[in-house]
Amino acid sequence: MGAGTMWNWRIARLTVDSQTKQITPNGQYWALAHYSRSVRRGARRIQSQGTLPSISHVAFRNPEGDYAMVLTKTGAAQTVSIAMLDWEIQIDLPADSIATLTWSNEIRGEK
Amino acid sequence: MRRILLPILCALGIFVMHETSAAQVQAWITSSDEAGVITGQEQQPKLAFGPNAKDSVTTIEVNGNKIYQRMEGGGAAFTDAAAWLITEKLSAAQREKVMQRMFDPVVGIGLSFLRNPIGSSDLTREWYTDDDNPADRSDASLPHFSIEHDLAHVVPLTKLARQLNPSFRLMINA
Repeated sequence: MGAGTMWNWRIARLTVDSQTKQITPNGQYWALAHYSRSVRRGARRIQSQGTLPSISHVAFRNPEGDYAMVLTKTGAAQTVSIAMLDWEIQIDLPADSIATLTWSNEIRGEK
Repeated sequence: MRRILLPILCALGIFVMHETSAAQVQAWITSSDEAGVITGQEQQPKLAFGPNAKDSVTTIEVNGNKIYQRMEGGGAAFTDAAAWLITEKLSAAQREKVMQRMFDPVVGIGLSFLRNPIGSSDLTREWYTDDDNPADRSDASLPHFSIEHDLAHVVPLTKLARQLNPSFRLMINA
């Protein structure tokens, strides 16, 4: 192994109500989903830089060339810009939220 | 000739600009309301890249040329306790749903990695190893080694996870 990171919290991610039999995903389940659905095996983490104290961020480039980014926002809602080369987008992050962004490799200047 | 070429190049340039700036961003957001009810991975309207204003203090810059570590996958662990609970305490229908929601890449979230403990961990029903021996017997060369304890719950669920996700990988460690 050596390289790479696993998201491995030893906490239940799905709760099954023994009375109603209902299965409820919790926050950990969804947090994991933000990575597992968008970051492929063989993806490389790429640089993401910003000094926003209440947002943690990580960006990846998948083997197929597309990009995935996960933003974790604690505290009040905030609008942030994600910039790459000459382009940027703005996204509204709700209070205490997690966001996944994906985009293709069609950005000018990228090979 | 030049007079014709220039407008063509300009037109091409505009075409390329248009094509690239149209690259769209897909977004999913998980948040919760005041009552703590979670809305999981709600798909957002697509966002289109626009020119980088380079003037915002709330900007995160992504640089695809600075490359770091390689991802193997993300996942979970079937401890003895979790595997026992899923196998013994859920109905067959619930078990199927739980496994699908965890490992199926289409119906669920497609977890692609399991890290299972060898022998007991802090999340087991009782203490055991894969080579338990009476106090008066040593087993240094492991002729009595056995994973029998895990054949009841951990191994069948691990196999099912592998069936549900073609990208599945397993790591076991003590």
